[in-house]
Formats: sequence, C-alpha cells, structure tokens
Amino acid sequence: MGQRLAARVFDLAVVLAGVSFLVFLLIHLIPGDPVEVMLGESARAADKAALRAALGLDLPLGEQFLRYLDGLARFDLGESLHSRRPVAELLAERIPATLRLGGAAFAVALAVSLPLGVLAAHHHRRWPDRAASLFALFGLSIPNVWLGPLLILACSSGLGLTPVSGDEGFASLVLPALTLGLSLAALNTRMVRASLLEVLHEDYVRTARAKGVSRAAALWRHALPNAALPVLTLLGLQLGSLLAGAVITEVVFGWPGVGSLLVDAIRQRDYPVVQACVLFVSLVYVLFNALVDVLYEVVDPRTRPGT
Amino acid sequence: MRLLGLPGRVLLAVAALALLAPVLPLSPYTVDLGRILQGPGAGAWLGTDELGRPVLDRLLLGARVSLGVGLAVVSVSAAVGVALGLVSGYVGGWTDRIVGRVIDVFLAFPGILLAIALAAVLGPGLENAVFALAAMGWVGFARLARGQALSLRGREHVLAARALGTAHLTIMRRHLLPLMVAPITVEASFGLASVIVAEAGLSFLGLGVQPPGTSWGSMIRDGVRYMLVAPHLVLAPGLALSLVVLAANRLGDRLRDRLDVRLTARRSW
Repeated sequence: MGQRLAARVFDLAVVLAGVSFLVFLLIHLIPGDPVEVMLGESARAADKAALRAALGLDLPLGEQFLRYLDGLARFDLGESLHSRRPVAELLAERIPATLRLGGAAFAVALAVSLPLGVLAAHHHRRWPDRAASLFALFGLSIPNVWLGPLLILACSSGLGLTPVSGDEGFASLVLPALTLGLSLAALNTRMVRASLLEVLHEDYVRTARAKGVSRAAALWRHALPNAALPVLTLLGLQLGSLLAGAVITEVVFGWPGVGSLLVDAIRQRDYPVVQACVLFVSLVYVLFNALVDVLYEVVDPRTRPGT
Repeated sequence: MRLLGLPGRVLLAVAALALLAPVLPLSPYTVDLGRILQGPGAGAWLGTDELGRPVLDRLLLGARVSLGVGLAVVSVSAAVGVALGLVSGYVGGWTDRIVGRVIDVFLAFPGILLAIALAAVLGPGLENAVFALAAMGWVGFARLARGQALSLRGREHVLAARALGTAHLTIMRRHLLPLMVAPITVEASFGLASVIVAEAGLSFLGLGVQPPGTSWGSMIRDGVRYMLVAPHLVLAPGLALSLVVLAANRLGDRLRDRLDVRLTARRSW
C-alpha cells in the first residue's frame, strides 16, 4: 500500500511538474518579442527594458523557470500588466463564482442523468430508453456556444424568467448551470444506462430475482451499487473539467469566474494573468483526476491490489 | 457508402456545399445597409445580418472554415499522434516511458483550455487556431496507437516478421498499421466532432478566423449581440453546427459498431 501510494504521488508530481513547465513555456511561445507584443511597437525602449526585467525575461531560461517555481511555492503569480494588482488576488476573487457555477452544473447533471439512465435501463429498448438515448445524442451534439444563447433566447427573452447575464443571485445561475450541466448529463445518462445494463445480466441479479425480489428492488438495491463505479469515475472527471472548462459558458453569460478572467486577460494581452488562469485550471483538473483514482479504490475493494 | 450511412452522407453533402461555395453565385461579403437584420424571406432565405449580408451565403462560407479546420486538425493530429504512438509502443523501453509521460502530461490538461491558451499566445488567426487545436488533438491518437502497438507487437505475425529480419519501419507500416486502421478511423470521426466544437469555441472567443472571413462560431458570436431582434443570426449557424457535430458523432457510433471497435472512454473537451 505504502509503495503504491508513493508511486502514485510520484506520478502526480511528474504530471504537475510537466503541466507547470508547459504553462511556463507559454509566454515564450509568443512570436517575436513578448515585451513588444504586450506594450505595443511604439513603446519606449526604457519601458520595454523595465517590463523585461520585471518579468525576468532577461534571465537565462533555466533561471526563469526556477524563479517561476519559487513564486508558485509562495503563491506569488506575479503582477497583472493591466491592473497592476497581484495576479493571485485577481484569481482568488474569481474562484468562488467558478466553484458555484461548477457545483450547480454538477447538480444539474446528476439530477438529470441518474433518473434518466435508470429509467432507460429499466425500460431497455422501449420508448423511455429511446427517449433517453435521443436526449443523450442531442445533448452531446449541441455545443455550449449555441446552447447558451438558445437558452437565453427561450427563457430570458421569450418567457422573461431569468436575467440574461452577470451574477445577480440565484436566478442568474440557472441558465449557465443548465448550459454546462446538460451536456454532461447527456454523457452521464449513457454511462448510467450502459453500466446498469451490463450489471443487470450478472448472476447475482438473476439470483435475487429468482428469490422473488421485485424487478425494481433488484435494480435499485443490487444492480445500482455495482454499476456505480464507472459512473463515479466519469462524474469525478467531469467535476474536474467543470471547474476547469467553463470558459465558453462563463463568457456567454458574462459570469464573473476564472474563465471570464482568462478571456479578458487574453484581450488585454495580460500574459501573467493568462498564465495564472491556465495554471490554476489545469492544476485543479489534475488534482481532481488523481482524487478520483484514489476514490476508486476506496469505493470498490475489487480494484485494490492483493484482493 | 453503406458503411457511412445517413450521418456520413450528411457530412459529405455539407462538405460538397462547402467545396462548391466559391463557384456558387454567393455574395457573402456584399454589405447592403438597406436590408439590415431582415428575417428570412425572398432574396435571402435565411435573412440578413447586421451589415445586410445574406446569412445563407455566409453560412456556406463558414462551412468552409468549420469543416476545413476540422479536417486539417484531424489529419495533422492523426498523422503526428499515430506516428509517435506507434513508434513509441513498438520500440518500448525508455522511449516509450518518456512518450508515455508526455502523453500523460498533455492528457492532464483540459484540451480546450490548452487550445485557448495557445491560440491566445500565438495571436488570433486561422493557422494559429489549427496549430492550437492540433496541439491538443494528437494526444488521443498517440494514446490509441501506442496502446494498439503495445498489444500487437507480441503477435505471432510480428514476431515472424522480426525473425525473418524485416526492417522495423516495414514491420510497423505493413504489419502493425493496417491492424489499427479501424480504431483510428473511429477516433478520427469522434475527433472531427470535438474539433469542430472546439473551433466554434475559439471563434466564439474571437481567436479563430478574423473578419471579414467567418466560421459558424464567429457567426454565433456576432449574432448574439442582435439576438433579441434577429434570432435567426444565432439560430442558423447553431443549427448547422449542431447538425454537423451530430452527424460526426453518429458516424463515429456507427463505424464503431460496424467495425467492431472497442474504445476506452473518450475525453470530453
């Protein structure tokens, strides 16, 4: 166990280091002179030199990376070129909104996909199953860039139910959470259905049915817990990507989260902020995935080695 | 053709329209301020946009970009990813460990985020968008080809070829690659769907094709501003986008079932 844990921590460390290094390299991918891109061509030479020194771009690459890692360790992500404020502070302001949106979308995904998936498996090859499959297919095929505006069109302007954009309390959370949650729900519905169908053919389900357990009880009590594992994995991965990948949805709805911060920073060529956003999101994503791996073993004793 | 089915035909039809767009009598750039934001009607079947340009003509122009970027990215990603994964899995040893770790690191990024960051850093524009999308697209193919190569390299026909002294490159090309074509095709089909969605996302953020050119993503972006008065500006490109993504996803499902391919859970972008 200890050895496996060590191996896992090592793997995680390698991936985290790799991710940090890639994000560090980002700023060096700017074609030409990054300082010129940030300040514009007409900037004075003295300003350029000052910015270059402030960003440490005049140092050798290895030293730059060390400085960058050193800053990371102290949660010092540099200073925004635009607002002159510490990047960590800007990021910290936006994280709660992204968390709220991610949580709400996750709730939507769960609330839709679990009943729908169970229903589909229970009525395999009959109309509820077909309807669920159709929902899943459309959910997977309608991109967030379109689903968002579509929902705004239907709910905010058509029915006047919810605010169109911004963060004004619970009502404005509804549409972004639906946009983000429904595509996940589509994927999840498929997963719940597929893993249930797989388990329903197992011997222990037949045994339970032979003992006189009702179809519904066999499904809920015997099949569902065993079908939970792949579903749980998918959910875990999704939670990571939710907190990470809500960029488009946040922009569509003007939601003041990390994604909007990233896009604003891109428009302002505020590269330290861009770098920090990408790093934050990727790290959250990696950590969630690692957490899911661990949970996997906790939930399902079968996946533990030596059993 | 039977293998492609309805979804394949839909994709081919859209592709044909996109290819034919330059020779069709279209006027996607003609500004006509007298007919701004008109709804669908005679003269402009899908209405006009905020500069009076016909939406249908621009939709076909956008199809060229959306499909073109999709195909370009999938081809580049497949070529790079398969080559890297195949060699890595076949050669094994340290090479494979390093390539495996690199794949892990790239998989650790949420793909669309990496593409957004790359496109942002490289500057807006079509070529950069293609590069950014391919930079995240190759990973899936590499992982697939590596896994396949690892499981195939111990097969008897491969061992026989090695015993006969066949060059490694020939073994990979003649004895391994043909066996991977089916799963790679399936991956490419799903990949096309995700790349088209991702491209729409980049264009929506203004990181893709630049005006006066257009893609479905940038049409949605421009349309959102006038959505309440002219909903067709958002509905038309969105429908086209969803139709193509739906077709590509269905094609993937269909090929997977027909070619009897088992894939592990795909990454959602």
